[in-house]
Amino acid sequence: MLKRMLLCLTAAIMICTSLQVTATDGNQGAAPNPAGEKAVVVVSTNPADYPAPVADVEFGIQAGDAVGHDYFDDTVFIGDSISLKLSHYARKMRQTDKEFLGSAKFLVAGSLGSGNALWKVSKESVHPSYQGTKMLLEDGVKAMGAEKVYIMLGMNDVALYGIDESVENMKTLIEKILKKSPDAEIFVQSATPRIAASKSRPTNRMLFEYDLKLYEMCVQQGWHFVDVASVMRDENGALKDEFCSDPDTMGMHFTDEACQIWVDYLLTHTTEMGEDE
Amino acid sequence: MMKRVLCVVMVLCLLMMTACSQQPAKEVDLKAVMDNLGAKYGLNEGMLDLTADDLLDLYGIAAADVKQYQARIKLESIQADEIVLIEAVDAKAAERVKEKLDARYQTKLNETRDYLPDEFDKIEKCKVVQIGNHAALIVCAEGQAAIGEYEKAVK
Repeated sequence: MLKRMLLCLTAAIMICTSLQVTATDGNQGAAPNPAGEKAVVVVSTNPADYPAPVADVEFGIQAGDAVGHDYFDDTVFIGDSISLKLSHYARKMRQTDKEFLGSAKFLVAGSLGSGNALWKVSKESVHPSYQGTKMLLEDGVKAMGAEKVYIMLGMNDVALYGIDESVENMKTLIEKILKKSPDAEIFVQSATPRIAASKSRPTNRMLFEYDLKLYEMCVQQGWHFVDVASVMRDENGALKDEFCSDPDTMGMHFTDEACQIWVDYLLTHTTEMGEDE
Repeated sequence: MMKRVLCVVMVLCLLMMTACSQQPAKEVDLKAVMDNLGAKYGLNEGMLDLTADDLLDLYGIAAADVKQYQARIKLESIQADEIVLIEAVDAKAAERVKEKLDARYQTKLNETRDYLPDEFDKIEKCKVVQIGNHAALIVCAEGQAAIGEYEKAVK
C-alpha cells in the first residue's frame, strides 16, 4: 500500500514537472535582468493555469535591443494570409525604405496551413510560389538559400485538425525543411488572435492553447519561439480592434499599424540580444 | 520571254501587297491604360504599384521579357483585386508571360476557394488575356467590363 502511494506521488511530481517549462526560448534565449546577466523565467504551459487566453509573460525569445533590418537579409517568412498581408506591407515600405526587413523573402499563401503544406504540389494545392513556380515549402526555403526561417501557421489548421495534430504537422513540416536546409535556424511565431466579436472557429482559446503547445514543441526541439501574438492580444486575449482590417468578416487580418508592431517585435526579439556592437 | 517577265511582275506585285497589309503594331501607352482602368473600376484606392523585382518575385516574369508594364495589387491580403498589364518584347516572350499570368490566376483561385467565396467568384468572372505581344491579368469587381476596355485599348 505504501509502495503504491509512493509510486503515485512520484508519478504526480513527474507530471507536474513536465508541465513547467522555462520561458526561455528553446535555444536558451532568456530575459535580461538589471545586472546584465540573463535570467530564467519559469512559466506554465498548462492551459488550466490561464482562465483567459492570455498570459502576462511572453514566451520564447525575450525582448532585447533592436537589431538592424539587415538581420533579416537571409530570412524567409512562411505563412498564411496573415503573413501575406505582412509581405504586402513590406513591399509597400520598401518602395520608400529599401532596407525594410532587409532582403527577407516570403513564402506565403492564403489558406496555407502546416497540414496542407505537407500535401503534394498540384494544380489545386495552395503551396506558395517562388518566382512564379509553385513548390513545397522545404524546396522553396532551399531554393532561396534562407538561413533563418520564420513560420507563422495554424489559423487554417487548428479548427480542422485540432491542436495536437496541428502541432504535430508543424513539427513534421519543420523537420522536412531542416532535412533540405540543415543549417537553417527555425523561428516559430505564435499564431495571432481574432477580435472578440469573432465567434467562429478557431476561437482565441484554441489559438492560445495551440501557441502553448507550439512553445513546448520549440523547447523540446531546440527551435526558437517568437511570441508575436503577445503584442496583438488585449487583456482578454482577443486581437485588439484597432489592429484588425476585417472586423466585419474574418476578424483576424492586420492593419498596416499592426504589421509595423509585428515588425518592431521581430526587431527586438532576436537571437542577438546582449551582443556587443 | 514575255511569260517570264509577266510572272516576275506578278510575284513582285504579290510581295508588295503582302508587305503593305502588314500593319505596324499599335503603340499602346500602358500607363494611360492603367490610369483609365484604375479610375473607372476602383483600381486606384488601396492598391500597391509593383516593381520589376515584384514581377519576378510574384509572377516569375523576367525583366528581359518585358517591354513595358503596369501592375497593381490590393494591399489587403483578403481582397483579390489585381491588375497586371504587360507588353512583351516579342511573341515568344508574350507566351511566357501569359503562362506565368495563368499560373498566378490559378493561384488566386486556389487561395480563395475555401475561405473567401465572394473573392473566388470575383476571380472566376475574370481572366488572363493575350493580344499579340500584350498579356494581362485583370481581377476586379467589374472584371468583364475592365477586360473589355483593355482589349479595346490594345487591339
